[in-house]
Amino acid sequence: MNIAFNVSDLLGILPVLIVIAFAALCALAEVFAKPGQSRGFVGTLGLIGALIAFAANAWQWHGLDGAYSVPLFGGGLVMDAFSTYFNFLFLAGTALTLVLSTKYLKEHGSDLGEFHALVLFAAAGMMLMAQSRDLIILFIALELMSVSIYVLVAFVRKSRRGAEAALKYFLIGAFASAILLYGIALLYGATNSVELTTIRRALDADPSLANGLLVRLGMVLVLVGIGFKVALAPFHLWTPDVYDGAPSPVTGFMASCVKAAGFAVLIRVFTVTFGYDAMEFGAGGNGWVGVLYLLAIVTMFAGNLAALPQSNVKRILAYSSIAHAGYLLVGVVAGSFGNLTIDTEAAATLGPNGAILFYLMVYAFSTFLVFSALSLFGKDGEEHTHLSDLAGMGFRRPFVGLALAVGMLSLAGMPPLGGFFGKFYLFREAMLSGRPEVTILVLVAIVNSMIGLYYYLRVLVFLYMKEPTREVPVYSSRGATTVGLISLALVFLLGLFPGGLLTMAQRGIGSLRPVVTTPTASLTATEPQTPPAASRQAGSRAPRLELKAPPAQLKLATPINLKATTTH
Amino acid sequence: MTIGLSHYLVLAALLFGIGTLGVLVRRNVLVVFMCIELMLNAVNLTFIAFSRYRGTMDGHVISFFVMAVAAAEAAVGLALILHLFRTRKSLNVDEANLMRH
Repeated sequence: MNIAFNVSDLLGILPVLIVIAFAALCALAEVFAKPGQSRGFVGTLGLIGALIAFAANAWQWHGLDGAYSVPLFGGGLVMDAFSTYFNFLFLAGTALTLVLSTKYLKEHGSDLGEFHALVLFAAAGMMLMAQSRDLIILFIALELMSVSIYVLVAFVRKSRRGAEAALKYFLIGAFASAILLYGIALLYGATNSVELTTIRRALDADPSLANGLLVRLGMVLVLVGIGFKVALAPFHLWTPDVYDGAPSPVTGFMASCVKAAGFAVLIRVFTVTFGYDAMEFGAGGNGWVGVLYLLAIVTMFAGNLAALPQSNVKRILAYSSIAHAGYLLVGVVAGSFGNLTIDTEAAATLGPNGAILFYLMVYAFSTFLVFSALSLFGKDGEEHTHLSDLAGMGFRRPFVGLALAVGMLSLAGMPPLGGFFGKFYLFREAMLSGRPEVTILVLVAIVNSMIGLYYYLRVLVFLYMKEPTREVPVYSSRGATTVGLISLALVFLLGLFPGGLLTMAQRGIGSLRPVVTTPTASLTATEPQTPPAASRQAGSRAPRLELKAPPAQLKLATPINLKATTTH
Repeated sequence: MTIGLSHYLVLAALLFGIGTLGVLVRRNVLVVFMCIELMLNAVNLTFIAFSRYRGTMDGHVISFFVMAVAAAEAAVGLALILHLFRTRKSLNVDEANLMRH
């Protein structure tokens, strides 16, 4: 077996290694804690780990040339500006979640060190998802994230809603994983590889393969699997229950980081591997853009319309997160038309996919702003996040009210705030693709944003214009205040000075382009180019199934491409 | 009649379909969970059939990864099922409806 392992490759996943090491430390620290002792120090340990990993990531970011990507472990993982950009998001989200949850866990009687370890393990999974260029590594990273999150959702043991939400999330999540995996198996069968660059070359070499049943079915199944994770309609039905039942800091973590990880995968797998001219609307391509087009419309309406009658803020935010997935999908659809294929000129622009990167960052901080305030409502396993619980809170707890109000306005997309510019750039870049279908889609998205205003503003009405009807326990916490202040500052700063983050997003998406335009350059240098064809033909004993895999395609695939996953 | 790749693929597809159907129609959490395991095993069969057909080892190795992941999922899943059973003495998914009201 050809196993490519360079010690220097470990530097490429340095932030992941740091996060995993600190996750193990956090789990160990629990052993040394005395009974009854506060586990705040475990949270601090986790926070230190997240910050060190953040610094390591910044170091990687500065060491990378924008358009360059470094393949690691024989091409299974990659370090490029795209993955590094997402790692910033995941690590910032992890740090904020850890700060937010320390007091929350104490108030709800589940002050255990494992929480912090699990948050870090989930973060490691997300980072590997953004870095993977091999479907099996992608699957394992996704499971690392998901399994950690299943436990986190049920973490507050007194909460019956949490137990129920976790079970629902687990069953749906495992179901989605199985579907995703079946899709991967079919793609493997069609192209003889699970590596994205090899799959891409196999598809390029033989257009009839790209239109074959196996590839089409495999892509649809992979899309459904990821669609469950990022809550696209019609695979979104679990979202309100899980977001509602999960502890508030975990809900914030899920809404911001899990969604971002899903979209990182969506962009890398679909736009880069299956994307570009072969996949035009209906015209001989796989037509998956058409599928995404419909999903975008359905998701936006499903999220926004279902949010209207809700009376629980966490359920409103769950439907809002579905609607936001719909807006982001508009960018994915627009990004699949053209912009990625025009290599040199487009590299200087943001493009719809770059706008997605910007949007995800802004959306994450808006979400944390809302949840920094929302996590304060409740005690002992009971959360009080009904709209009526918020009544009058804008005057009784001005800062809590302010955080909720600004966060909601940013999610709604009000002008001076970051949320507005996220939407603005996303829709503008989508319009610039110049396709009439996309223009219609953007108009649908704008109509949906207006529908969305109703339920975001309804929260403000309760905060500032209603009299409180009952007393609800609202604790105060320095951690939540810190998270609130940081998020508040960032939401304003990204709105007033979006330039810096836009440049970063542009660089991030720019690092994906060379993969599309020159699939054989620099990225695949470590792979054997001419495998012995005879050894592979030897196993071909079933001529009956039409695999649509002529010898020309077989020559392109590498015989063993599990290098990265078989290193131990 | 020789048993070829298509036989294995059809069998795997059938198993996957049975698993999917089970997840959608059965109401007992444990049975739903078993159906998900059936789906994962159908995927393993697909991987191994393709691997054998192509004469490469990838699919064989991948199936080990899938088994490991399935075991991790089973551990967490059974713990969650136990946790839910303790609080409500029932394994029926339809009775898990706290969030509706």
